[in-house]
Amino acid sequence: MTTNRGARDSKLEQDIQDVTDPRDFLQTSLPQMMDIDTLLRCHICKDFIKIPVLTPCGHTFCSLCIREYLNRELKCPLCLAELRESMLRSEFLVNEIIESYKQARVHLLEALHKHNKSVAAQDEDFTIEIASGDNEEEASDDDIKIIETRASRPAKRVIGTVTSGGKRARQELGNSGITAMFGKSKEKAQGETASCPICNKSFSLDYLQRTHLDDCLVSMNSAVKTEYKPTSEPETKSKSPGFESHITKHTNRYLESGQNKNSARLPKLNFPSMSQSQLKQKLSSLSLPVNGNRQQMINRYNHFEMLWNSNFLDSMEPVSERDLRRKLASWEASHNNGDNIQGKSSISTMLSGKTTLSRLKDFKNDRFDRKGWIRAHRTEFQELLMEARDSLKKMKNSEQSSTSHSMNKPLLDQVIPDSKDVQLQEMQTETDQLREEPSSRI
Amino acid sequence: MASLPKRIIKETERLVSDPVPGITAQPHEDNLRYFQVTIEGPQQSPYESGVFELELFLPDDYPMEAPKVRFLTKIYHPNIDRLGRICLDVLKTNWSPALQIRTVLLSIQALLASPNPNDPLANDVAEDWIKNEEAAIEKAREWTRLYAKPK
Repeated sequence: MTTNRGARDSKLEQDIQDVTDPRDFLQTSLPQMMDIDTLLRCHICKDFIKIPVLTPCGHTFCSLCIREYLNRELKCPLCLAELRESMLRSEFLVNEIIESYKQARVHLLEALHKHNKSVAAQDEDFTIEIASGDNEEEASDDDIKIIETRASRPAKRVIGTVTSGGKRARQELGNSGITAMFGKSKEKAQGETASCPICNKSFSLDYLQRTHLDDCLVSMNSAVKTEYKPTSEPETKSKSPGFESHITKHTNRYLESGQNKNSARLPKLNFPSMSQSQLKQKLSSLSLPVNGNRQQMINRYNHFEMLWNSNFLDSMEPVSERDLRRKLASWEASHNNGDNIQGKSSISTMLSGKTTLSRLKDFKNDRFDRKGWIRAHRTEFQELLMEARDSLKKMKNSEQSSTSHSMNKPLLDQVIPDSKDVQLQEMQTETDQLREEPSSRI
Repeated sequence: MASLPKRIIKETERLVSDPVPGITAQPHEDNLRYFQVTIEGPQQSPYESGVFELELFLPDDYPMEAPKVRFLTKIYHPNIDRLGRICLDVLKTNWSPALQIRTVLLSIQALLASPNPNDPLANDVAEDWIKNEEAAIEKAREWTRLYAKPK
């Protein structure tokens, strides 16, 4: 694999930072939150449930996760009971609970950490005694008892947990680079704090820069988009008349849910009985592309059906068909594993290989960092050039005539479809040299 | 190659920072879907005090598809064949995306504790096991001493 490891590692590190885990609460003064945090997650993707749906056996999953699984097996992943897609029901209440919890979570963790620190500062003298002492016995206490004891001597357990459970265990980790990275990920620098320019709350500097600013910007945008009651002001920085309705926005949304049930379910198709042209007809009636082989078209329909049904049957806020098609396209970009011979798609496979789709989203507009991309994937580009060179040689050998020269151009254009792109000029010059090479040899 | 899903990152983070007792799993530097695994033989089994190396690979469709696991250390067990392939329901028909690397490795450890010669993968071993269990267990112990030395 010819990955630029530096680029990959920094991206991976970012990804690890972004992943939240129920155990984030273990080191706070309220470890009981871990249970709730776990319950609100999907057992398939392990993340917070997106568009929750309920099975007849009483289990809840992300709409997309369970639909994807049901394309393979007709049973519940948790209890193995028989299950079909038509049995799934959306759960608006759970959806709103999770959405509002997700927003509160960041602040909750922050508040709990702050509480920890202030408590620790007060009782600094206790720390040594605890680290050496009795936290063994306390760890085996049940939750209720812990609450009671904390009231009388708050610092003890908290500090004991942090020093014994958290950091030490992680510092003992293995020496491999990757391993160390996974281990250290959650130890955030907690020294300096600064206040967020958007919401005015204060956070540790590291957290603010890495995560919170993005979250805050996103939640501000989505809050504007998903507003339900026309409030006097779209977003306010601090407490103001509009503030309360913002806080209860998920309640309001839940109360108003359930009207848009006008879209039809997209049916499962019986592919073996369909001819190629029927399949193409079906796809084009949904404005989907009809290129690729039969299996690719079938996969395309199946994935689109899943996106469609999840969006129009389960979601409280369905997106447009166009957005669904866009999602389908990015899914295809990451799932066509080189069984497509066309040069164009091999480029897109290569591009999608090393990045998340979110980074690729900007591929076609100006926000995409083309120079960085070229630098990061120089080796891949060079490999492609080598391949092109090889196939040119082969072609030359087989043709053995002047016609091969005229064949060269289209092949190269396939390998680099963005030939008009100015930023790829660096590549271009290399290809130009390449073009001359065979002709000079003939 | 699809990009690395959040779920795999999360599982790896957990495996490394909060490992299961007696089991280690480390992602490979070049391929984060490939893990080098060691499992300690369970106590009171013929595999006790042995350390077995395995490899684990997460296919592109994981978690919709089960991880692929194989013993690298030679082992005398009715449900594990000469190539290290493992006969275990959760790796085949009973796989569910609600399972994870952690649970799969625990199941394998449990399989070491309770061999099942009635659903064999290595037929010769299973026959030995049924004919003369004591001798078979002794042989398993010997192989553990020979091949599964702790490093």
